[in-house]
Amino acid sequence: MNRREFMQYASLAPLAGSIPTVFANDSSQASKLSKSLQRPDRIVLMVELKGGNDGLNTLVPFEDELYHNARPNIAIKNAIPLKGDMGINPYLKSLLNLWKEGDMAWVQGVGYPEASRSHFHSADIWESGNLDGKGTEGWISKVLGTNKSDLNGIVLGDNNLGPMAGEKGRSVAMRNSKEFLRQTKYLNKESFDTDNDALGHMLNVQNQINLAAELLQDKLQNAKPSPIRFPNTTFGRRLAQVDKMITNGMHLPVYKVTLDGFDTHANQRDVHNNLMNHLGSGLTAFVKSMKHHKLWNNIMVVTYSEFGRRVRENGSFGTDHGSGSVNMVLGGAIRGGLYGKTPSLKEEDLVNGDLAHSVDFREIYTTVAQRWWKRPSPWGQQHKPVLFV
Amino acid sequence: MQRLDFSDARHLVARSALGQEWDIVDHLKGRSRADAVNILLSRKENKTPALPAMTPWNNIMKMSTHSHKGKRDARMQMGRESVRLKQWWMHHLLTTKAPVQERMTIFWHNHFTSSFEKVQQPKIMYMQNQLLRENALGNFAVMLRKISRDPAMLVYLDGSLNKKGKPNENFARELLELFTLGRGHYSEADVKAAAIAFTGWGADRHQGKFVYNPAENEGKRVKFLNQWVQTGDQVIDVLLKQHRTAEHIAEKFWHEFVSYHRPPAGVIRRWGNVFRASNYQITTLFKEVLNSNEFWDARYRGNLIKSPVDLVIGTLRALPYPRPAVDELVRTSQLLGQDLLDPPSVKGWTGGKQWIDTQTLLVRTSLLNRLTRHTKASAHVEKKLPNTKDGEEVVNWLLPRKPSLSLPTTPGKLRLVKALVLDPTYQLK
Repeated sequence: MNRREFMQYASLAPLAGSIPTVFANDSSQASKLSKSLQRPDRIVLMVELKGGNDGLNTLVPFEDELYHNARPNIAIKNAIPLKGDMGINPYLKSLLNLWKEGDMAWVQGVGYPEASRSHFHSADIWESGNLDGKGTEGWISKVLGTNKSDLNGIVLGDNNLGPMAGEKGRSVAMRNSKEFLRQTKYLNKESFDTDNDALGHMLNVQNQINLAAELLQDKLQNAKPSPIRFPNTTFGRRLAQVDKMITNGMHLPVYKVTLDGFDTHANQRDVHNNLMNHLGSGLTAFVKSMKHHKLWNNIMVVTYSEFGRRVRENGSFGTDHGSGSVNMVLGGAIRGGLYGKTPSLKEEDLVNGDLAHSVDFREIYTTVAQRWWKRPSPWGQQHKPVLFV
Repeated sequence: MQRLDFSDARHLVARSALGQEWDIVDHLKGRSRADAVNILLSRKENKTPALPAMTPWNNIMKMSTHSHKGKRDARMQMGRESVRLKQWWMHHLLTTKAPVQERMTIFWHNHFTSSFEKVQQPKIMYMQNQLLRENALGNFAVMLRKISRDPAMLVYLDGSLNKKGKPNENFARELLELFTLGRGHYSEADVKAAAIAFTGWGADRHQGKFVYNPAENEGKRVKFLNQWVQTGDQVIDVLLKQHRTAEHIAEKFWHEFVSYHRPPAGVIRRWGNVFRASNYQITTLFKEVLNSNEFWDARYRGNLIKSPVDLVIGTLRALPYPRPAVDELVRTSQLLGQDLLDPPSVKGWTGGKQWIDTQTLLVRTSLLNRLTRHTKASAHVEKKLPNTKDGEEVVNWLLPRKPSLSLPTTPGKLRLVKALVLDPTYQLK
């Protein structure tokens, strides 16, 4: 066990006794647990790469002739080697130090059986953790459960709660905290009784807003400006908001931001490289700030996307919807490296022209639940964790 | 024969027009369901306001060929024109004499989506909007063929990039998944086959016209849903023969007009059959829905959440509050999660409970607070409120069910209306 692992386990130790084996509800157990989650122990930042990120041009099998054959126009020729045949998109270069420090993990060949190629259906599957994509509860809501007094997380920038969705999800979405606080003063604070489904939903949303407003009011009132500059992009500004909250003591279990535009059916190269650049530069600033504030060991960044793309490029210098992709995980307390089998690009190994998957996406969630949050997996023993932490 | 009382009439108007205007509700009160539906759906004049200027595509192309700056200028120019077109529609929604047709134009915009974000060119987005308006209460089969040839759609779903030897499946997939059958009623092979049949379909962006280029067509027969087809039109023929197509549209009507909950299978089968038997006459389906017992069932009353357009446009059409400028209304609607002409994805707006989340509930309440606050114009507003002494009737006019919070005890028309508008139940229809 190396030093970092030791520290990580040491910091987990006091928690061990207070983990309930069933989902917390309104009990003293729950409030104990939620207090523990208020400490900067284990925060997850989910980064949604919306539109279907092309895994092959993100984590690139740059030595594989089949890769270049399948993509004569859009293959990445100057990938930065990580290990063996695999390299990363050169526009992620600013994150390379993390690889060297063992703070970057890639899980390859991630997917699920009979992959859906519909944006919406597949996003529902990824976010709910159900293979039929049904049910309104996100996987994170299932893991963290609910309690009356605390928030699970905040989505910055758009209003897709995604994995944090659900009637009991205890998460809020906001464009930015200032506007959010300004608007809460008009909100009804009174509770009311109702048997109407839609009104019940509204009341629940109202309560979550009031909870979040109290917390933001309390923590951000005297917020210190960050010494770290974030890129002036939509993604960068969203990350800066998350950063402000975390570094001012809002240690919620989860935050989520989205980088949109990955549906690269046409003229993919410039579009995708540009997105990689946004992703890389934004996360680099975020990591820098977390390190500066000595929080880096308490953070885990996890990317996800609804699907990968076809192995073969299409006729418009782009790629169509495919399956099997990669997830990037960053964190000061993780075990960096490549996880999962590198999927074969041989024609006979592809599934309808797509990469076969070897890691079920829920194995990643199981890892986050069990090994990071120390919570039971919503799928019991069904999925084994990936040992990146 | 069952006659509509005031609440029944409000229910019908609030769900099928744009806001429960007192005069319309009052006019339908006391009539039979069928009569009221016929009156509401009768053809009305729907003249749109004068169009904002739109730069021809060739000029845009000329601007953007020479330099990066030119490219940026061109993009900015189109961006400004798009905003003006959004304001143009917002203005029309506020003033149209055909609110049912406009509601249905939004309904189809949410079905056959396209966005400025992808299409960029205001002119062809306007043309699509007009196509949807003209066919909103017309014939679905006709609209489906027209939309498949619509320049904005050909750009939006990359149909114009779908060429011989280089199929692009984007349009074919959404045609099956969203426009007709719905997911689960076709295979991946069907998507590929349909894409091949549609190769060569493209758009002339300057003329705003559909162009078919036979040289880019695969020119081969493919097996689509177990039938041999060669052209895009034959793909559409096959789709229109499927029961699922009519049922898929019937399901959308159910969710739009009746309930978020799953429809009983029998109802969808019945509506689907009526729709198909009419050769896809939209008004036939619409009347079937509005006359159905399900539409009037107490179980389903007041259980839908108002869309942002319902809330903004509906409130301003029904109540005499001072109207904010259209540019502000466009921004408000965006913040509320319904940026018309820029849907969040090809699937359109999910709507339903998702209209209200932690962001949009705040925008909703601050908007209504602002509209109803006391100003110099308040006396004027009070004068223009409907002339009734019956407080009960005012409650029934503005709320689909009993108020959630307690109402003011001090009398006053303005005060009562404000309390009703700010009551959480006002968010429902």
